[in-house]
Amino acid sequence: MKAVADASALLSLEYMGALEDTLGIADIYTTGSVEEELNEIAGFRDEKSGIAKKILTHISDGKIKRIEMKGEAYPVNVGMSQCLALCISAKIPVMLTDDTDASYHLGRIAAQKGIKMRMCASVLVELIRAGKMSPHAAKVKLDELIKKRSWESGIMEVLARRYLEDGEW
Amino acid sequence: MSEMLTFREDDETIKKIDELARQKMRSRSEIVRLAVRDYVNRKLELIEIQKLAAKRYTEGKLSLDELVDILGFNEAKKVAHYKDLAESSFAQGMS
Repeated sequence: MKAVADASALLSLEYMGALEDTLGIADIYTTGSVEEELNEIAGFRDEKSGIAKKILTHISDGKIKRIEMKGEAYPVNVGMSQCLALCISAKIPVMLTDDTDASYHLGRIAAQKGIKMRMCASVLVELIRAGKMSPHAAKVKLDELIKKRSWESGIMEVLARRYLEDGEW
Repeated sequence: MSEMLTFREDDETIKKIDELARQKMRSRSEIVRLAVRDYVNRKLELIEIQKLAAKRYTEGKLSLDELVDILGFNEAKKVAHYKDLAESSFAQGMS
């Protein structure tokens, strides 16, 4: 399983404590601009800083594969735009993002190019399928993340309950 | 308790702030303070409304048309997009 992840997806996964397990079941790629974004976040004095530093360790260890992409392909968030460009050029069919605005603006282009956009919840589903996590544990992790989200948490709450508690997945 | 914030703004906006301060007979700081409070409160209220509407839409208790009536076309489209993205993430995983 291969996917390109932008900063928002990597931050969500590490925040939930699921990034290490994710790297055990999937090849995760990212771009130089995402690394730059994470370096910037790592320089802040807040909760995200420590999370970004841990992700950067995975990138420097080569567990998350960083591929340099030149230029800004689409007129939105540079990191996400380059992630989509990487998906297209390296024929990686899945792009992980938790960035609502950017995914909204790039969704149509991604669909035209045959790239599937997925949120980090999709990784939890794969971890459940691989037997690395129970649906209950996934729900607990997701609930923590939901508290950090804006209006999107309304949607996530309903779906997390439907798929992870009621077992529709 | 209060904390001091420092920020930069372009000349044109500063001119407008000063014009408003003159008209309202308030200080520049007071105008900025009121503007920030008003913006933050309105944004947080909007997020609460969006969150509730998004939740009801995902539960199937609001139609897209009703969502458009509440949030406006552009915001409703964004909510619908996000719901689809989230739903496919849960239903299909990374495949």
